[in-house]
Amino acid sequence: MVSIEELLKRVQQAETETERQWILLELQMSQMPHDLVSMLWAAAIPHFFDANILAALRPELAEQADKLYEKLKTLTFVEEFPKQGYNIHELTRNVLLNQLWQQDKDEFLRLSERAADYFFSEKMSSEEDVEFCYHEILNEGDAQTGRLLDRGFDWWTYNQIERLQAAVQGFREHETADRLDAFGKGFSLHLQGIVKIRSGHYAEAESFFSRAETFYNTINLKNPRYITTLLRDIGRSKQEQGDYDSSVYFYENALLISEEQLGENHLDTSFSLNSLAGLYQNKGRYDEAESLYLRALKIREEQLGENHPDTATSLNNLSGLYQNKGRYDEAESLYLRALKISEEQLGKNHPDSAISLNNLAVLYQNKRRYDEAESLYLRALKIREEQLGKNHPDSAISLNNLAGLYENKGRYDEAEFLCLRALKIREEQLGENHPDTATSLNNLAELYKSQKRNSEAISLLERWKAIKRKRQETQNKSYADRIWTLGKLYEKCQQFPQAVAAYEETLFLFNHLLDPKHPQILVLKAELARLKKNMKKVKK
Amino acid sequence: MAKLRKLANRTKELEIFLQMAQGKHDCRIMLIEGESGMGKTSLLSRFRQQCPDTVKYVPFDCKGLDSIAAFLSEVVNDLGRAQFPIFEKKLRTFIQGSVDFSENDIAAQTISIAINGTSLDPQAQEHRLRQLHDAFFDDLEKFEHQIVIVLDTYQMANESLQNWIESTWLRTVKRRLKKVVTVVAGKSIPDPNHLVWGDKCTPFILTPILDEKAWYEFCSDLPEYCKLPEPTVKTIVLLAEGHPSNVIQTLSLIAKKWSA
Repeated sequence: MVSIEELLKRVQQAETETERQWILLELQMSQMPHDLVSMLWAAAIPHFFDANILAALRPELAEQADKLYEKLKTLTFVEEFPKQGYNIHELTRNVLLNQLWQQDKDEFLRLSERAADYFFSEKMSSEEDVEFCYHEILNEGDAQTGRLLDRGFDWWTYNQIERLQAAVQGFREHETADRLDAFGKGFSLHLQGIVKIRSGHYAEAESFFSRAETFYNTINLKNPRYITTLLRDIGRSKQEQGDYDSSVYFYENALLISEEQLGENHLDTSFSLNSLAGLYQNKGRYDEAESLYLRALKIREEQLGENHPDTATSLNNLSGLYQNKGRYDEAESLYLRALKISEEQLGKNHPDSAISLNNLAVLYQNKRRYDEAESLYLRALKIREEQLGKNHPDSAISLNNLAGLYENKGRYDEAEFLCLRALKIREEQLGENHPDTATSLNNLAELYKSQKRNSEAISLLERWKAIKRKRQETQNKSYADRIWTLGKLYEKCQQFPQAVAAYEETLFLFNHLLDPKHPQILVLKAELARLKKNMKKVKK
Repeated sequence: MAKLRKLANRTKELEIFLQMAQGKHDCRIMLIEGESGMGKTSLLSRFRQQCPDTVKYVPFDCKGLDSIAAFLSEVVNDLGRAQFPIFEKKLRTFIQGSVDFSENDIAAQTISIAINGTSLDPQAQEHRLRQLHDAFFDDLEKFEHQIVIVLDTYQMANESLQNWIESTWLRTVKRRLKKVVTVVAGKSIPDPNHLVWGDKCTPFILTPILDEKAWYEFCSDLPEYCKLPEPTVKTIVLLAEGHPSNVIQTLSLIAKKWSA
């Protein structure tokens, strides 16, 4: 036993604050029973603990976990953690973690591994889900099971950015204490890049990705999925910025590594194939896209089965391409297969079945099989309204599609009613300046134009224009075409100065976007000259 | 610009807090910064104990999964869901389908789904968050009694929550929510010189407590330490350099030996 004088002397001799804290803590621990000390070390590993967590961390003390939990709760440096149990105060926890890392790193990693396994199987709450990653990253560098990557993948898919941010925060805690190996540092940077992509900060995202790649390159990555996913994420960042050439480079690299290191029939290879195919499709390189989509489909059929929902996604991708190419019959047969899978595997009323119904309906509409298209659109709308809600943005998609069909059939009143409902949903659910709201405004304007309700069409197109300007989406042909339409509407309403302004804006854009001899430029110039001449006559 | 106050012990903070809580201070934002172990959480529990019964006290700890949704949920549930009709109506417009609203409390997860959806882009998420927090502020503005909303462990809040607190919450407290007092405490805190609300906040930095007399008085009031003689307490304060967490730990160790 240390005497009071000895204790005070040791406190006095401490050179740093951390040393002083450790002396005090160590003395306190020297007065505790062995089992409690053992549990205290374990309790410092997670950010929070309860009796179940303690039992998982110290299986040899599992039977006493409840009793030790009660004792831990009485310690001065243990405090309540909202909704999860208790935690060791940050100051003391850091002292314990630093000591354990220095004294017995293997024990630290062993406890972290048990914590990761516990939270992996639990992950009931967001905290538990994030806590899993916090522990997993310390052992994943050696094990490379891919579990860490899968969590990141899920969070991305389900848009759970808060969890991504929280995981990054936990990784930073390890990094500050110098507990991350090269793999951990690389993965932490990768995740930080993903968070930046979601908020549209592409330059920052790519800087994180590039640093992550450097770390991955310094080690022997046993699980190549980490690098292929990183390369696809860089490709995605480039693609979202419209830099297709760079995007192709990264997707191709990812594909090469997937094929060489994981195998031509690995599921990861199908992800790389799909990314690249989607890009080729956007660029109109349909033949190349087709061959890649077909390979991805084959892999999924073989690896997951012909009736797996992911196989249905591949079928949908391929059908979309066939539709682009006007190969409607092939597209129809694939859409029907995808629909059958969705209905069988997920249920007739599942929102994924509504996607398939919708795709098929678009195809029938293009083929002028209006009655069949209408019936499918109505089925999709019913599923979405019932499963997702009457005001869900996906229901607005169905309303819009159906409105387009009614417009084609000249059923203007019904089309208008649906367009207005879709517009209201989008304004409310997505915002007044959202691109989908802009699409609804444009659709409704087009409908009014067909009915010669020109001044109503003008007011909608002006709102549409304001959104496009705000989003800086004006340097493209489709925007220029709509402004030209707006000019024509103004002219019809005899609002000539506004018409001239719209024509001039269109001409300015065409001069930047088209060849000077393009027929549209010649027509537009003639229209503008005629209009100006007429205006002079009117003035006289 | 806000003035920093360095204090020997924690009585001044309590005094100003009580003035704020009762609407008798020209600031309604208090920021408390202090290293780990400086006694922030203890100070906040003293605030809570001494807060008058007529004032509703809402604590929020950022060390959970610290989302904006969790903050909104905590405040709504603590003050009573029935007091937030505009917020609930708005929430229902974003939450459809099979979500159950029958529970007494509105879960953070429900609000999170309303904000983020399953496949919404950042612009739509921002729109929904704005709509929801505007509705939340509309309801909060209608309260007739004083409310204190405390955010502890601020440094653990994620980036989104910190940005929202600094750009939206504190600005709204200053401009609109005249009955609301908010305290933000942590190892790091929002910038007290913020252009929009900095002039209406009172920041404190918690430093070691070197006032030996104050420590001796503190010990005298507690049965476990009251037998310790004054010179021993003074020695401990000096050795632990007034660091509250270390002083308490040393006091506890010595007191055990003393009684043994």
